[in-house]
Amino acid sequence: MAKRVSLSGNEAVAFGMKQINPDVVAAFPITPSTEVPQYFSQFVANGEVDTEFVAVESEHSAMSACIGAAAAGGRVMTATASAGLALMWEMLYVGASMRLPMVLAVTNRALSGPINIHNDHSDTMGARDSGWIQLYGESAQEAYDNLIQAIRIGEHKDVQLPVMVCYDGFITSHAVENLEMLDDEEVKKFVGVKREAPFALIGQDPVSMGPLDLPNHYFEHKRLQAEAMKNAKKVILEIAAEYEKLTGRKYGFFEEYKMEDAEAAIVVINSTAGTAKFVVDNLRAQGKKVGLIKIRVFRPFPAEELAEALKNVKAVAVMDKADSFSAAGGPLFAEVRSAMYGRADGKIVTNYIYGLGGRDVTTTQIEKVYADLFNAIETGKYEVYNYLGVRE
Amino acid sequence: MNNRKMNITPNTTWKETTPGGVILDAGNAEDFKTGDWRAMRPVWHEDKCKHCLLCWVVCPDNSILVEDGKIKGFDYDHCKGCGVCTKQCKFGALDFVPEE
Amino acid sequence: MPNLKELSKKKVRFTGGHRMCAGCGAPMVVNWILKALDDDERAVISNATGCLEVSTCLYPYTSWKDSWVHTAFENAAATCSGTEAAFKALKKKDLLMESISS
Repeated sequence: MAKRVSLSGNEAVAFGMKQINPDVVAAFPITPSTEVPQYFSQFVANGEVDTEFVAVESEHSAMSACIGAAAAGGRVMTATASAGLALMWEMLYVGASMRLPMVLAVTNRALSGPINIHNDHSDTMGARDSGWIQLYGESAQEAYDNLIQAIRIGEHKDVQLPVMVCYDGFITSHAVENLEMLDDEEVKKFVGVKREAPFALIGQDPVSMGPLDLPNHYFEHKRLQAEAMKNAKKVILEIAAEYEKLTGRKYGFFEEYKMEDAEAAIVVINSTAGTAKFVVDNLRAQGKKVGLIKIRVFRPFPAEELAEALKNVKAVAVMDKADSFSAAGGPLFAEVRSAMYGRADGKIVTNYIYGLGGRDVTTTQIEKVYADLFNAIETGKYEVYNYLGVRE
Repeated sequence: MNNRKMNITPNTTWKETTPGGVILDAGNAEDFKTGDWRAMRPVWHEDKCKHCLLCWVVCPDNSILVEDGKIKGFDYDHCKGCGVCTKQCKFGALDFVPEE
Repeated sequence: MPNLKELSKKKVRFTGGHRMCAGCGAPMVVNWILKALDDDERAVISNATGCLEVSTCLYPYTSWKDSWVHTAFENAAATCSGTEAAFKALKKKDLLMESISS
């Protein structure tokens, strides 16, 4: 039976890893994800897991060792944040293109520079095209649930891709919340004891992995990789349905909050959704038709489904906790507006870059976003690109 | 040609290729002939050969065939004609001649 | 220490058909390193990016009869440390029935 516990996000993830009992964890500490390998290495030292822990000299080596372990056929997990993820960059692409399932817990933190240890999404948003599946969670509960499901999603025979499980640094990673954990046995049954690798360096016939791939074959391999990401959409929903049966907690590509008759909607990722839901409730109490969509799955991007969910709104504000410096909006905005094109045309779609480097986002600011949207609906006048909470 | 698990050709489609470019047939480079790289060819004179195996030691292309500790001949499908074997032979058992 | 005649009877773990330049010393070195293995052993070879790597494993051909992995230029050892860790873990969990040299 599931048990109620009070844990920080990092503790929930570390305990989830313990229940999964992976073969290899190779990790390097970085604020605010340090606690994950720290707690986990204690489980290893205490003999509470069978995992081999590789204490590496950098995040680049952490991801390299994870790739080597996954290539060997092992079930592999690690954790990082910010500059640590940036140092893994080269290997993120290699791991995904070698079609190796791994699970990487990322506590979202701003990228340098200037150096900043607090939360925004510039780290994982930068890695959005690395070929990894990306799951985002609002709370410790969602980080834990995503972690357990990530193992099954990545290892599915039609997917065979690595998965990032992202949650907000400090806000989610360090705040203690009440959540429900599965029993160890339930997790073991859900994820299985062993990863079924279709090919591996050990335990099967010998293989060569990571060849030189010239113009006459490289494109076909990339196309096959792209298909795996398409397949992941179906698999993510199947695993979510199975997880719901086990836990009663429902997951999809995104959460729709009071969207049924919403005229003005916000699209947001991770913990800010909690703040924004509070605002939605208040505005609803005043009779305003507002709603919210919280993205859970950013890669693969649920473009069609999102356009369907937004087809009846009049105006949408897409909230980006990362700037892409494209001079044409943040990464989530670009995806959402592109998803709506030809499917949900004629809407007002605006972008708010907010919360960079851990700047608090307040209910007042979110109220202003909804007020801007209603003003845009009434007057037809609005700014597409906005910065929220920066001193003007 | 050996029996192989995969049959990848220049016309293989993305649906038929192997994920991540994994190669399932360990050692299948044997199927790729490098013999046509040769401008010069080593010629073995069995009568002068002492079977010291030093030519086999230095061959970069596994092209000197040895059975039961004795030279049996050359694999001209893979020999690139580098001539390293002929250089080290102290018994005049290996000539190095232009390809016809 | 076995003599050359004995070594010549060991199984061939690295094949011709690779694209190293004619006369290159690297394939000889590879051959001789692999002679250190007993015939009943299996190896995993971790290869850094370079001539040897691109010329001996050029899709869809590989010269390596043992398992071989290449990930990037600077991290062959780190990659191999993960493979070794996976081997230990799978062995410990009784999920693997073989010995290996890396």
